[in-house]
Amino acid sequence: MNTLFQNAQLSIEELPRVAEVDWQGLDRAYLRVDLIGLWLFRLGVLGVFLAYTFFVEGFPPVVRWSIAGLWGFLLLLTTVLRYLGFRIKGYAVRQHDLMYRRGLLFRSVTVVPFTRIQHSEVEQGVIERQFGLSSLSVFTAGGSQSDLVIPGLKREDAERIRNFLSQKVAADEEE
Amino acid sequence: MKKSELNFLEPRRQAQAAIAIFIYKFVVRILRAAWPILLVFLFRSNKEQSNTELLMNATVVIGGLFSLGVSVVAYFRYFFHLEEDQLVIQKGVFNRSLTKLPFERIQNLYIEQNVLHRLLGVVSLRVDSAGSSGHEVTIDALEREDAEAMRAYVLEQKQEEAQERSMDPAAPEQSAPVAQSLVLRLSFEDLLRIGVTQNHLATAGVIVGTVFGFLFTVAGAFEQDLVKTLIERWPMLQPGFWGFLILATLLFVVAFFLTLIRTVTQHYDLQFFESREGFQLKAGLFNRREAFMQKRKIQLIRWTDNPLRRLLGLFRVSIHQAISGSERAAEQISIPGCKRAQVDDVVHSSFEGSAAADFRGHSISKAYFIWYIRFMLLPAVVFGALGYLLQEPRFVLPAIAFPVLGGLYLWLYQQRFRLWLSPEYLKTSEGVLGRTITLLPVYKVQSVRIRQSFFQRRRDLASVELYTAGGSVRVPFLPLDLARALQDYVLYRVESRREDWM
Repeated sequence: MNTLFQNAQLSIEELPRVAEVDWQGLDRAYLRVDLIGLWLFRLGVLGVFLAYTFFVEGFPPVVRWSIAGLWGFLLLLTTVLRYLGFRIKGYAVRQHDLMYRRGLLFRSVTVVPFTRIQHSEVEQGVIERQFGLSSLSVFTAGGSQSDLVIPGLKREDAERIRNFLSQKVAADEEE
Repeated sequence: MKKSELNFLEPRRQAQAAIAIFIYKFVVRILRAAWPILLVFLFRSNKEQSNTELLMNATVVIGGLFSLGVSVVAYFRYFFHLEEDQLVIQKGVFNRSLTKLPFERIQNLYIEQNVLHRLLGVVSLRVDSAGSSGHEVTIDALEREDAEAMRAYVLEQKQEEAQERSMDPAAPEQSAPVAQSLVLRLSFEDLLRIGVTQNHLATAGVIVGTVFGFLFTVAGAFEQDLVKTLIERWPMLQPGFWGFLILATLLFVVAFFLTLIRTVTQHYDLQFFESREGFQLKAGLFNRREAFMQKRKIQLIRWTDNPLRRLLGLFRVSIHQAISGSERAAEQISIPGCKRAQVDDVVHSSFEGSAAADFRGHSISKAYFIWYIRFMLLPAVVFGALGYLLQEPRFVLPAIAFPVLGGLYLWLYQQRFRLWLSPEYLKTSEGVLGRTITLLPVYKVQSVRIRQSFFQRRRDLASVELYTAGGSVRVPFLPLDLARALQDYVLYRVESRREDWM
């Protein structure tokens, strides 16, 4: 590994490693929030589709029910994946950066250094509010691709992290 | 200089040409929104108007006149001035709004001129503040020297602020007026050469899209099947081999000339200057654009060639800086035809030390091919099955072409992809027919993402995405330990030092 960056002042071995971090899981209730949101949306779409096919005369019932069946099957599949994927989702706050991990089949780990954060917000959706949960959004400059959203945090936790971040960002600017 | 600066300290209006520009903007807006209706109105067969129609038209006309009036009043209620450390704009006809833009939030100021501006002899000044979208400010009409003085003043103030903060003792000589040197200028022949070597297929695609969009909109407005009428009128449009050939040739010729014309008008008399602080670009025949970019704000530089360009030794270079959310690509400086030596000049003077950087090359895994070839096999299977079911031997061709051509492309892409790393810089080189090279200083990175699909996890591979405020770089299918080392190193480099990165 030392051959990677020849002139680096310290060897790569000594750098803090993202891979060794202890991930903080999301709040248990978030799984329910997530699934309720998923089912509400998917069943809503299914309802509109069924209403439409009953409204249009002569829509072949075979097509209607096979599409509805496929939709239902996909919904169940997504539910299982979300359920299994929940334990992967997690965040970590290190001394200099904030990280978020997600994805069962397609895993991603995103790290945003505090020095590159423009601002952060705590948000609360309708369903999240029923469970006392919040999401923390962290914004960077430029496009939205590198922005980070950590859902499923207890309101107090989200506020605490947000305050910690703004203190960090402010401290950086003063120096 | 001092005199014109003073002009901005009191709230003032724009140049009077702004009225004309407001009206022009208004007309364009109306035409863009309502052109199908106007078209129907002009060409309809039945010339008599019913009462309801008359009422509707009267409403439209009155509404139009009213909006026109609003445009004029808007001019008289638009004020701007500079305060000690901010730009202040008051505007609004019904709802007055007060926008204060602190200099430290201003990323850059652009002087622009479209045809109308040139006719009226004024320029517009666009103020960009990164990060917060929707806070972009444009002053529509200013005398050129006023706009230049304003830009110079704001940039100077920003610099002083930055110096006060950093307390850099080596600073004083920087306030001396900056000498600019011309790096390159594109002549008419250069532009023709560049125009000819553009990607004409892309233009053809845009044309097809636009024509279909146009036909649908018009057909909707006339409630007639326009396409059908067209085909009936002109037998050459009828489906068949010759019709297709004629259409394809026509399309290519039109695309070719359109690209040529667009290239020439867009980059007409392109001049590219360098000074110690940054780069300046002036270009355009009808819409003359001037962009200034400070070197320290540059996030990454990309240069691209294609097979035709390679024959001429030309590259398209784009210089990316921090952009705000609502940004268009126009924000970035882009030069369509640079010689190799000019590319090196730009790169080395933007990123000092990149010339001497000790790069080590890394390849991506062959698994890249194995993973993506699946998506080429899928259409092959579909076409094969359809051909078999329909007893249609012609489907064999796409069934074979997809995996063969797609596979070739993937294989070449994997073979040619290179990631170059040095302690301070990161470079990628990718492309099959042409080549795109992206260079960025490691400390500009503002977020790192590692992605792993289930397929990659089994093979200990990962894709790395590095985001800067001006664009991102993606490296697919690296060995996992390399990807992690890269992530750890980039974060270490970004977090261990405080640098002015944007």
